[in-house]
Parts: sequence; structure tokens; C-alpha cells
Amino acid sequence: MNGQFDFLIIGGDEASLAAAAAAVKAGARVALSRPVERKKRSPAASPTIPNFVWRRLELQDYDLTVEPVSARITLFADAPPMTTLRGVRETADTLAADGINDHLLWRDFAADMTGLADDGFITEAVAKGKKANGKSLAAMLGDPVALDKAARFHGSSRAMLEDYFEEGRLKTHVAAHALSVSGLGDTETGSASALAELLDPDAWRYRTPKDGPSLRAVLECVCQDAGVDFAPPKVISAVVQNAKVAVVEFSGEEKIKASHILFATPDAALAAGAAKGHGDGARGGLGNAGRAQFRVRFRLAEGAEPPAGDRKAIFQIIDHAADLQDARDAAIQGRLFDRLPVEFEFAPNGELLARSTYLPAAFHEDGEWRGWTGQDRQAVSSIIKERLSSRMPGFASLIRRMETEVVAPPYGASPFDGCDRVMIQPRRHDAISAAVKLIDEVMARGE
Amino acid sequence: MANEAANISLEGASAHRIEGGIDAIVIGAGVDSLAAAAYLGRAGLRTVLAGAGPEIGGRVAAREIAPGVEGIDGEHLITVLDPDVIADLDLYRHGLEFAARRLDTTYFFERGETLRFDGDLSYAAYTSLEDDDDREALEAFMSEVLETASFLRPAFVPGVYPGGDPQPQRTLEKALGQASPELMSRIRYFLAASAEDILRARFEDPQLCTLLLAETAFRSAAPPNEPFSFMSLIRRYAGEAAGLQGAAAYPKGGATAVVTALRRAAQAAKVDVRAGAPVKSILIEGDRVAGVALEDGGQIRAPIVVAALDAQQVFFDMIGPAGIDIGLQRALASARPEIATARMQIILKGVAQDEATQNNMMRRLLYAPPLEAITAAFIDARAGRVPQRVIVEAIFPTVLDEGASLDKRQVMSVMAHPLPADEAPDAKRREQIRSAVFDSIEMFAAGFSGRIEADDLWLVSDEAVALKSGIGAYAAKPNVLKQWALASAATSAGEINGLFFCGPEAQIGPGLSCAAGRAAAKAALRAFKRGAP
Repeated sequence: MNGQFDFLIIGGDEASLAAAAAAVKAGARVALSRPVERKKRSPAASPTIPNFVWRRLELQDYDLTVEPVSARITLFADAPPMTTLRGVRETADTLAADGINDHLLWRDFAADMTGLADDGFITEAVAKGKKANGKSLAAMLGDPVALDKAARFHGSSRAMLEDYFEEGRLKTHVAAHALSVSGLGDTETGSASALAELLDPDAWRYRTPKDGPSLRAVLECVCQDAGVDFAPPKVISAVVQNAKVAVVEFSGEEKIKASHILFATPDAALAAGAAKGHGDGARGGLGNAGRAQFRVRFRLAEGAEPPAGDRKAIFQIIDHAADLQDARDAAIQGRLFDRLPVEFEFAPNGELLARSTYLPAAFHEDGEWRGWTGQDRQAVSSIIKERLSSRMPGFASLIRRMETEVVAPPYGASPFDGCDRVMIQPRRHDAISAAVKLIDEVMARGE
Repeated sequence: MANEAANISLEGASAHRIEGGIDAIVIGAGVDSLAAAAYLGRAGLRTVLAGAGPEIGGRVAAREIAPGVEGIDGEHLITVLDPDVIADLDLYRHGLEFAARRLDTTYFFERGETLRFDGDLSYAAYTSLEDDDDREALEAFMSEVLETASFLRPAFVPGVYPGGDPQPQRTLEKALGQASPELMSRIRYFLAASAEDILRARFEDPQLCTLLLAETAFRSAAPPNEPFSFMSLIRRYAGEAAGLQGAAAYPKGGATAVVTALRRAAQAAKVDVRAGAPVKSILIEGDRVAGVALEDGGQIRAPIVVAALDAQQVFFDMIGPAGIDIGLQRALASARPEIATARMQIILKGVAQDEATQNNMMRRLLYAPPLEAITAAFIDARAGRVPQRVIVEAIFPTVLDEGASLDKRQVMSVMAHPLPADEAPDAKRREQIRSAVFDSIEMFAAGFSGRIEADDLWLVSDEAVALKSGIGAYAAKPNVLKQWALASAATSAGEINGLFFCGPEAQIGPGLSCAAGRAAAKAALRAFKRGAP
């Protein structure tokens, strides 16, 4: 395989596939490199396919059924669980039924959060922005209202939630669900934007039924039909040639040229060594460096009962409000945290999928950094098992098989060192929507 | 008896005195108030400066730290003093002089290594580095950072005042509007990325990375691994000292010399400087200020009030929460301080024996703990624990300034960061902080503890007590985005016409600056001219 491409997209997840297909449909030449998968597994819920992507990919022509996750539930150590739903009004009603006064403010909160996320002015003047120039920055500096919004949006999630709510359980619940994706702490600068993302309608997660095709399988078909070129799975090197184009070499000596290399999720980037944590030269790490994600897939005995009887929800396990920040601090410092915040759900085939993003990218011991070892994986697995058992009595005895996976940066030199054509999208709730928007933005810039 | 009766009746008279014929009142006795008052006076306004305490100077003040030895609180170096203030107010003519300019910095690292930076940052790469790659990386970095910093200088001065004055905004748009797309994309990157990400991506050499991270994190409450944290370095390098960008200088007589020069400038401008005249409240009539009421019961009426105390005192105590808008209330309430810098002045016995030590005593010394220790220090300080290792900046005023030299003793002036911002630390806590600072100093001056004759720890809580304020205003500043939001909320002053705020919340970044005082005075002058018959 040889040739010149506008995008090389690396990753086999839904966001990468959707981005590849959307780019081709918009007229770009796209190569897609997916990691080798040993076997097909029942997938976790994925972010929504927003309408504009659905239309662009003409998904109505494919046999795709999706159904929304039923609820977001948080299981506390010694307090009743907390539930929020997809709909704003339904959530407010649920909160009211739980006797939580904050239900009156839920609607305002949801509206304000979507308003903040939609306010391109802030994000453009401050964060990314295709049109941003000195004048838009000056305009923001001269506008106390815009600055206040920007500071809140890019501030801490705890401060934002305290602006709205009284009930501690609700604040912890929202923070846990908002931050579990990125692994941020709730007092950390920038964590508030995850709240806006969480409340975005494009961020609610969906599943495909057990007997239908998975979203990933459908998107692969779309990619094939649209004419995405499939590249080999492993990148050996990426070298910038004449500033605008990278020459990418794959295993098997195949080479292509690509103007942009996109990782639609940091998982793919970590796996490819493009986003480093601690160790040597953390690169491209905006919102990413310093953490790893750990996933465990449990096959359970028949008759395993989901908490609250709800098999279709997404659950968080958290003990104290301060745990998110403490867990994040531990991850940054290269330690394990005992009261690990854990997210879990049931896959369509009944497996329990547990994960946590509050894990160190590398471990710091005796003044030295080291990568993950088998022992670390075991230690984390047993923490996660304990956490699940604490919320589902007898859980340990139901486990029939378990598989673990850690998404952490590999140690050593990266094939992408020095290559500035790489874009890595941070872990987001609306990963699909954001990846397609990123593609559109790059194409609009016309580079 | 007759005399006593006369006194009483005089006091009674003063209690009901209403003073008129004044154009502008400046509240506060710090450097920003003095600068603002001097600007107003020079423009011909009849200006009264009403300071609370008997001393002029605010947080920059001389104090006896040991029998017969005076130390200076507040600041110990000049790094960001506004060059326009120096020029406009003729501070050199009013006695400002530098005993040491363009101070080199010696950086000390964990394992005893050192690195010296030239006081002129654009030369730093040449004087200190042997490896060509490192030199190239540092040179490129410094030129980008200095260029960006000097370009962004106007963005670090508050520009939103009541009355819809469009000029600051126009000036800012004109200045920032000139940015090339490359510069703008660099600014966005420097703004939103974390210091750690930026520095790790730039430098292979761990020492350069560590020292620049320490410089960035020093005196900032933004942990260097969080977004927006890199801007504190840009803010610092946007400043200049003795005409050199990014430099540090020591004024003859210490930082109080700046106070003295400003006071002379104010008096030369015919400002009526009243030291012991505490203000009780700011008078508001309709949507505009009418003057101030003094603690002694008197009133001074004027159409312009420039307030240079902390926002809590100005807006809550002197105006009252009912008079200010909800945005400002929220901004002030949410600005809970977590991290502070400690000042310490240490009197050391003896003189330096070897030449290397002698040379170092004429420089700015900075202890840069390893990255992991800085990260841990921020996590600890934010959680209210005293960190094991802190960043330490030290100078020797007795060596830098001949006039301050002592016989067979030296004063070491230290700032240590980050420490928890305690409201009221007890003796045990102070001792913990003291020994954390000592431990960090030991890292680069082994055996120094044995030479200590006396030491004086000055925490943010001490400063708050001295200034009768909360600790919030004088704790370390958060990331630049939060500072911009708070500063613009405070300077727009809830749209009270004629009120111009230049307290500590109006200043972006730490250090002795006066830029907020200048900006407030300029805005006040424009308002005065618009309103003048």
C-alpha cells in the first residue's frame, strides 16, 4: 500500500471509524490503521451518533439498532444510590421523588451547561478556535461576563457544582459520571468542562442489542463502502517531510504520506506510543498525561443480579466526595489508590465491564519511574474486584472468568517523536461527535 | 481643665466635618494607591490619599526582625514594576535607584548540581549551557516566551471600568489585533496547556525542565500540571526590572525605596497624603460615588474614589453586599485561597569564606526541587499539609546593597512556595513551615542552619493581620484565567460610576507592579474629564 492521504486515522474504536468515514464522505483521502483484535467482544456502550453524523454516513441504509443506556447510577458506600436519566425533566422528577430539593435547579443546571458548551466564543478565544485572533482574545478580556463564563467553564467541577446544588450525593454523583471518562480530579482546573460535556445530548451512551450488528461492525462497513483505505496495524515511524506531510512507515515496510495523523481517542494514541505519560518527554498530553485506564471484563455465573435491578445503566462506585481528587493525585504521583472510583456496566452478552481511569501511567517508586508490571495488573484487578464486591455482595463467587487490559503508554521511544502532524483528542463523553467536528475543522482550515 | 474642654470640643467638631472641594480620594496606602494618587495629582486634580495605618507603604514595609536589624516585608526584588509608572512619575528623579540590576540566578538542584542563568534571559543559553542541543532549545524557548510575554503585556493590565469607557478596550484590541496567526496559535497553546506539558515537550534536559517549572510554579497557586498554569511564567517575563525584560533587580534601600519614591512623586504632585485617616465607608448616591466617610465621623466628598484596598474590604465592608452585583459577589466568594508563599528573613553569622559562595551571594538563588517534589508540594499545600520540599528564592540584601551591610552578619531574604494558605496558623504549624523552609534551604546551602542567629517568618496570615484584611487577597494567585475574571469583576466595580478599583485583586500575577494603580488613575482621569463642567 502506497499513496498520499489527507488523514491517517489510528484506532479501531467507534469514534475513529466514524471520523474516517465522515472524512471520506467529505471528500478527503483517508487511511485507517486499526489494532489487531484477537477476537470479537461484546462492546461497552458508546457515545451517541449525533444526527449530523448519522446523515453524513447515511446510517439509515444499514441495519443498525441502538438503544440508550437506561440511567446513570452512583453506588455510595453508606448512602442510598443516586440516579439521573437521559431526559432533563425525567431527571428532575426522579430527584424530586427522592426528596432532593436540588431538583428545582436541575433544569437550570442542564441548560447552563449546554449553553456553556455551545458558547463558541469562549472555547474559540481560549482553547482551540479556527477564527480566534488577537481581537477575539481582547474582546473576551474586556467582557467581565464572558471572562466569568470562561473561568467557570475552564475551572473546577467542584466549584461549578457548588454553584448549583446542596445535596452532597448529587454533587458527587454528577462529578463521578462526568470525570470518570477523563480521569480528572474534581478540584482540578478544567474539570468543569466535563460537566458541560456530560450534559450534552450527544454524550448519552447507547448500546446495540445482543443479536444485532454492533455499532463498530456497522461503521466498519460504512468505511469500506465509502472507500477508506485500510492500512497495516502497526506504525514503525512517522517523520515529517517538508513541514506539512508526515511519512509513515508501517510494519511490513509499507509507507504512506499523510497530512494529518489523528487519534480520535487517547487509548489508541497510548497504545501506539504517541501520548506519553511520565517517563520520557510527555508529548501531546493535553488532558491526557499522567493517567492510564484499566479495564476488566468479567464473565459471571447465571443469576448475577445487577444493582438496583437495572441491567442497562452505567454505574459508578465511589465512597467519598474527595475520592476523585485524591485518586487523581495518586495517579499523577504514580501510586495506586485504594478507594478507586470504578465505573461499570453490563455488556449486551451479560458480561460485566468494569473500568477506571484513575490509574497512574507509570509508577514512581524509590525515586524512579517504571512501567506497568504483571503484579500491578493483579493489584488493580483485586482492588476492582473488592470495589465491586462492596456494592454487590457475593460478587466474587459469581466470577467465572476475567480478562484485564491496561491502556498505558509503553515505555521507550515513540514512533511519533518529533512528528508535529499528530492530533490526539482527549477522552471525551461525546467522542464521536467531537472527532467528526475536529475533522471538519481541519478540512475547513484547508491545510 | 479649660484646655481639656477645648480638646473635646475640637474633636467633636472634626467628627461632623464635611470636607468639600476635593476632586479625588484614594483609599489605601500601598504602592498602587500612591501611584494612582500621583497620577491624579499630576493631572491637576485636588487629591487626598487616605491611608488606614500610621505607616505609608501597605504590604511593603520595613520592620525590625531582630534587635537592631531591619527587614522588609512584602517584596524583596523588583521584577514587574510597571515601566510606564517609573517614567510617567519620574521615579528615578524622586530617588529610586538600583543597588543591583540584572541579577544572575543560580539554580540549585536536588543532587547538588547548579546552573547559572545570566540576568539577561536572552543570553541565558550562552552563559550556562555546554550542550549544543540544550543551548539551542533554551535559546529558541526564551525568544518565543519573551516575544509572547512582551506582546501580551497589555493583557496583564486591568481594562474594564465603570461608565462604559471604551478606550482601554480599543487600546487592547489594537495591541492584540496585530498578532500574526503563528503568534496567536502559540498564545493559545501557552494559555491553555499546562506548564508541565509545555516544558516536557520542549526540553530533553531534565535540569532545564525542572528549573523552568520551578520558575513557573513559584508564587502561583496553579499546580504546574494543570491547564493555564504556564501563563504565570509569561506574566513574570512580561515584566521588566531596571529596563530589562524578564530581569530582577534590587533597589537601593530595598523595596521600601519604591514606596519612598512614589510618596515623593505623590507629594510633588500636591497630593494630600494622610496616613492615619481610616475610611469607614464609601458614600454612594444613586449610581455613583459621592465620597467617603471616615472612621472619626468626618466625610470627604469627591466625584472620584480610587480604592486600593482588597476587594473584600472595599466591596463588602465599605459599600456592603447590597450595593454590588451578584457576579462580583460570586467571584469574590469563589476565590477561596488554598496556596500561599511564605516570606522569611534569616540573620546569618559570619561572612562567606570561599569565592564561589561570595559570588552566589550576589545573585538570585533559586532551589528547584525535582518535578515529582513540586507536584507533591502542590497536592500537599492544597490539601492543607505542609510540603516536604518547597521552591525557595533567596537573596542577600546585605551583600547586594552596601548601605544595608551588617558587621560580620548577613541577612538572607527568602520566599518559599507553595505552602498552605492558613487563616490562623498555630505555633506548631509555624514551626512545621519553618523547618520545611530550612530543609529546602539546606538542600543548596548545606550546614547553613548552624549559622542562624535569628529568623523571622512572615506568613500570609501575618500580612492579613497587619493590613486588617482577609488572607484571600494576599495568598498566591490562581491561574491567569481566574485572575482575569476576578480582576475584571472587581475593576468594573458593580457599575458604580466614579469608583475605580486597584486593590490586589486587580493585579495579574505577584510582585510589586503599580500597573493596576496606573490603569485605575487613567480611567478615573478620563471619567473626570467627561464629567467636568
